[in-house]
Amino acid sequence: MSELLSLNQVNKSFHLHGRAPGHKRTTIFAVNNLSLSVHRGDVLGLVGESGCGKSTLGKLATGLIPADSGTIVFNGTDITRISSRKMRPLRRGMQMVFQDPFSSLNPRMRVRDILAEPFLIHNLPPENMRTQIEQNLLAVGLEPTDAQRYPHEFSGGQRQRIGIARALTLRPELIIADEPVSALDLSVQAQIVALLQRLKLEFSLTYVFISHDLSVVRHICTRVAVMYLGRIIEVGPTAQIFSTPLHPYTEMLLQALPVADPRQRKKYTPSGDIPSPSAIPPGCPFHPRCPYAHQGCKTQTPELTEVTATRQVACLRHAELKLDGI
Amino acid sequence: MRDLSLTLYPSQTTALVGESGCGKSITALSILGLVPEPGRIVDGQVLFEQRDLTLLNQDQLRRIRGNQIAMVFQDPMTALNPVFSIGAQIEEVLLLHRGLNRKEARAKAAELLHQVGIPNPSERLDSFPHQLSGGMRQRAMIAMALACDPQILIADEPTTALDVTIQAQIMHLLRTQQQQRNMGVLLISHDLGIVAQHADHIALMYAGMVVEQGDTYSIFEQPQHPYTRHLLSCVQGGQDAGEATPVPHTPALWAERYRPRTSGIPPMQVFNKHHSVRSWEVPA
Repeated sequence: MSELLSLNQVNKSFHLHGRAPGHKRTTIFAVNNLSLSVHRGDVLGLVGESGCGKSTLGKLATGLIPADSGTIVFNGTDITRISSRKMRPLRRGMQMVFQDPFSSLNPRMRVRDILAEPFLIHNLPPENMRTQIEQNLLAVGLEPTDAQRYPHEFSGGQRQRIGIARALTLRPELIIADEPVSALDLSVQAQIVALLQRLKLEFSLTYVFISHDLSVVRHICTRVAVMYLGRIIEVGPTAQIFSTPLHPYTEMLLQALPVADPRQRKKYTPSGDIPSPSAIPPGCPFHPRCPYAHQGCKTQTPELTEVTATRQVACLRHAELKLDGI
Repeated sequence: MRDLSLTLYPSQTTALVGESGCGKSITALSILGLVPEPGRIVDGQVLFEQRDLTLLNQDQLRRIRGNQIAMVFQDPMTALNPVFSIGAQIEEVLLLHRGLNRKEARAKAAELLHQVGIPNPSERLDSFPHQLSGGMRQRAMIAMALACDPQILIADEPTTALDVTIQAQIMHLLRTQQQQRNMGVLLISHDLGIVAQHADHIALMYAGMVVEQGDTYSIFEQPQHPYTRHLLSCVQGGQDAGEATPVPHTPALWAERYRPRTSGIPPMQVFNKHHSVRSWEVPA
């Protein structure tokens, strides 16, 4: 499989300027020394707790925000320090679907105009715009007549379909979906996930699926990358990540997942709160919460290393630990 | 909501399960006499220590709410007042219901924060809700609910807004506090995983009626009602769960003996000593 998107040693931090008296200037280290590659045809799940940098990574990958250092290569072109004029044609190849279908659609535009915007921005031939908009609406399970309605006339699930139709307009190769189903009801979630799976085959798409919901990720993704405080700490095929995790943090996430079976009640409760990305612990960033941490973990920061051809992990003790999957 | 009967026991958890809009939260509100207009309790009783809460006036109810029956809400950011420190909000409960003075209330509030696992409790009293993480905010709200040693705690989707690791911690906290205080807990949730892990009894709701209720093990092992089976198949199928295209679930899919008729809805029938199902026929 060929590489569609790759990030190499990428860093991104944000500076918060203390404006009010007594407020200090703090730096949020959102993405730290992160390397990750997405292959054509992948459905890569990016999981982690809130504040771990998942969304920042999505924005870096689509060039919506610039990286501080490192390189990001999309489809063979280095997009790290590319001008916005040169970025524009490349952006046709990658689109985003956002979490909140209520704030990502302009309430004062008709669906027709929302779906026409990509044509106008990218100077596409306007002749077949109308038929294409209709086709896109049909592809996501809406009616062509829905084009004249406004976003508020639709339910949450239908709005997310409109967001997906908009992302499809430019026939991208890569779709980065940032928590696309977490704002939706359970039964509607299942419908949107089924839609994304169908569209993947129909338009041969590659997905980066950002989510904190491990059960959805398990269902839709072929590979999983686990993030903790701006770093990838484990990558591998979905089934292996769930059955034999290599990183204690992955184990903690899996153990915290409530199983719908009263005979399998969990004894183990994860400890510790999510640390702030403005004060990342030294050594392995996970060591304060890790039940297996020893002295070395407090000083030495583990690199993401290859364990097998498809699996990587960033843990000093991964070879000696036997961790539980589900 | 139609023909709903629920029993809460000391130091046990009863879960109310169903999809959004099925009447879970209205059930909780009717216990506390808080059903919003134009809704009202048309018939039935809410018995708490041999007293029917539906017959009490607002004044008498106010003395029970927050005192003997407390509630934890889904979203601590909207349930907590953003312009008061969490200390002030917990102290208010104690001043109102327990008649403590300011100093005693503050000491008790710090102790409560300590009990729910908030580090540096005496400093945290002066924090405002926005200064706390989601998990810490939920802990603060639990501390507030526990302030008056309630006999019943109603937890309405207490962990839906939280990350899984924090969710597990909060559920563990509720469990330990419940054991220590002998509290009856009504857990409202749409998450069958949470319910399987933490509930002793389950009531499944569909369109305002309980379709099946009873002991957690019995329901998960021998689900009777087609709706229960449908929900369980969604979560227990493991990886293949969503392979089939999800269709909206309607009573038209149920066997005739479970379907409501124009004459009304079926009665609850006993399946075993700890388990009953809404059906026109006695279950085999």
